[in-house]
Amino acid sequence: MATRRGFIASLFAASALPGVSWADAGNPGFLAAARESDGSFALYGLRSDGSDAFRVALPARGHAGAAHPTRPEAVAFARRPGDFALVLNCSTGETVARLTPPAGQYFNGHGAFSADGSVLYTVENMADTSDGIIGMWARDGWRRIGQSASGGMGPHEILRLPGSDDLVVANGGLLTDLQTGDETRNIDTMQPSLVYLSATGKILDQVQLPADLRRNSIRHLAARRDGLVAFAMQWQGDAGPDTPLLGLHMRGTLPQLMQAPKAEHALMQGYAGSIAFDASGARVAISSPKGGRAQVFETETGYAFSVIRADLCGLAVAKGGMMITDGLGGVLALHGQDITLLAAVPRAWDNHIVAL
Amino acid sequence: MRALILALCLIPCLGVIPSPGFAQSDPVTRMVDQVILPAFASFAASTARLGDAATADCRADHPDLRAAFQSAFDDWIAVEPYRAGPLETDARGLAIAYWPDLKGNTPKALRALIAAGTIPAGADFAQSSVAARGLFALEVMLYDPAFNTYTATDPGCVLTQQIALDLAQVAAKTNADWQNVFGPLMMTAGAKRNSRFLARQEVVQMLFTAALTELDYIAETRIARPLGTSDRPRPARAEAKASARSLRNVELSIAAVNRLVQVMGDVEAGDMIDRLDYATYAAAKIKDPTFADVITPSGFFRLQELQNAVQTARQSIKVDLGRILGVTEGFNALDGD
Repeated sequence: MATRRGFIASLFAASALPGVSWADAGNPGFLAAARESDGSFALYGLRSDGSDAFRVALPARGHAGAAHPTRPEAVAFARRPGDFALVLNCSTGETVARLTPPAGQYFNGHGAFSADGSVLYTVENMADTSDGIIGMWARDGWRRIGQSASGGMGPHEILRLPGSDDLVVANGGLLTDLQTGDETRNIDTMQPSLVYLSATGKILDQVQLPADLRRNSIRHLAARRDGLVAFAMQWQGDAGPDTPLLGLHMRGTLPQLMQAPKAEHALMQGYAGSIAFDASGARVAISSPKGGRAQVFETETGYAFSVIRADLCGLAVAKGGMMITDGLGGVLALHGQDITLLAAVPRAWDNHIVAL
Repeated sequence: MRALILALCLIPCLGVIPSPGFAQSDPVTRMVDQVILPAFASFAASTARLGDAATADCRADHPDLRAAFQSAFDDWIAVEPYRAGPLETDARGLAIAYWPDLKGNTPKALRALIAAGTIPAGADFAQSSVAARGLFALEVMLYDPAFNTYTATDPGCVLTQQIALDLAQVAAKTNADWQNVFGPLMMTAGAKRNSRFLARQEVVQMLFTAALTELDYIAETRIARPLGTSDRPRPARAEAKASARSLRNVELSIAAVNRLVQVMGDVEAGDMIDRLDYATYAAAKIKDPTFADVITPSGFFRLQELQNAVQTARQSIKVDLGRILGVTEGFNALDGD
């Protein structure tokens, strides 16, 4: 058992090493959390050919990871409501730090690094009100250095916009009752939003959907190099499977909503679990493990085609197209409309795969 | 070459000794040949007979028409677990069985068609709202007193005929796709040009998931909707209440899963089958075909017992059939975030 002092010392030692990079963790291209066949949990680094670059055991089910832009460090977030996030050294497998949210707050499963990697942003909820908080942590010593409002309730994913230090947050809008796990208490008044924040947490822009789409929880995000943000939604409640699950937004313009033709759209079951652009940026996909499919859209013209696969959820941009993971152990490459099974492993890939 | 022969020999030598009935086949072949393709063929045949019966005499109280309706519905329940594939095309699954109808869309859509006077026919009718199509629309026309009094010259007569003929069309297309496209795709999983199934095990997984999903549907929708809560049972929400099929649909869908599990797992007895049999027994103890007695404490208890039995069977199948087949339940679909 390392002492705190020992931890810090080893941390400094690690930081002081020149040239430590992702190559030291086996050159992964992606991070993905998984449940092993024995029921334990781990975070994996995956190479673009689908092979494992590294594995770090997790004490509980993970949700998503945030990768440091240069160093082989990943932050694995517990599933929400999460009381920990682990900073992992992906080349040695060691836990560098364990982050704990301030009292009365909990992590919501996602986070992002600043462009230079010096600050980690974590998405959090106030436990009693579900008001959204963005926590800020200095990588230097993994100290809490501040927090700001996310501009809505129940924030879920945060991204840093490419080539910028600005952030975008998906405020899901849901009030979570921590005692019961109930998320339906405010579905008549929920107000999801897309909020842009500066690096210091100042709200720059807020986007809300029309009132009839208020029950469409904005949950997951992808960003294109030019700043186009794609957001995936989850409809709350029984009726209304005909509401869109995908939106595109460029700051300063109105959001544009897209959906597949009716019959295909209905198969998503009102649920989009992950979202990613492809390598060209001309296509964006949303996944529905409930519907066993991902729908691919042209950002200019709308629905293009679907990839049908049981329990598919994780989507990430990858060279030449996209990477897909499923809960049955599949790692797949999507190039154009062709899918290739890269690996089939005896583990269940969890909701997200994150491109490094 | 020698190594290959050795490897070929090792698989049967090390595997479980198959029971005599299924000696030469694997789970996928057994399911496709013995269960799925015959079930879709039966469904196509019985819906075709339903179309014929409606054409011969559209009147709602005609015994031939009602018998044909009941028989087509029975056959639907047998194919219902196999939702992946052809039933997904053009939302055929919904066009066959639009339920639960949370907002009363079916009577609304039927009323609108009748009020318009001219009922669209054939391909035009197929463009109608899914709420006005399929078994549940036909159930309203045949069994709902607000609809079933039409005469042979009323628009209601033509509407009944068109719903029946359209249903037969959808069933025929679904069956053709299964026989000619999707069945063969399942059998050729892993072949070079087969991008739908990249490995045989994916088909196994799909069928395993079909069993679990169907049991979920029975427990969490078919039973849970009328069950409601002990404070407030909801008998009006029972499936196919007007045609008195609520209990029958539960019994037949348990039977469909039982068949799937036996053929897929190549088992005729054991814990999974015992638990499914117990669910069948719990269903048989319910005397009210539409669960209307759920408003009484004993009626509520019996339906709740049935729900528990189905959930317990699901748990057992998840573990035991999963182990036999070497698959686990996908977990993203269950608890997304």
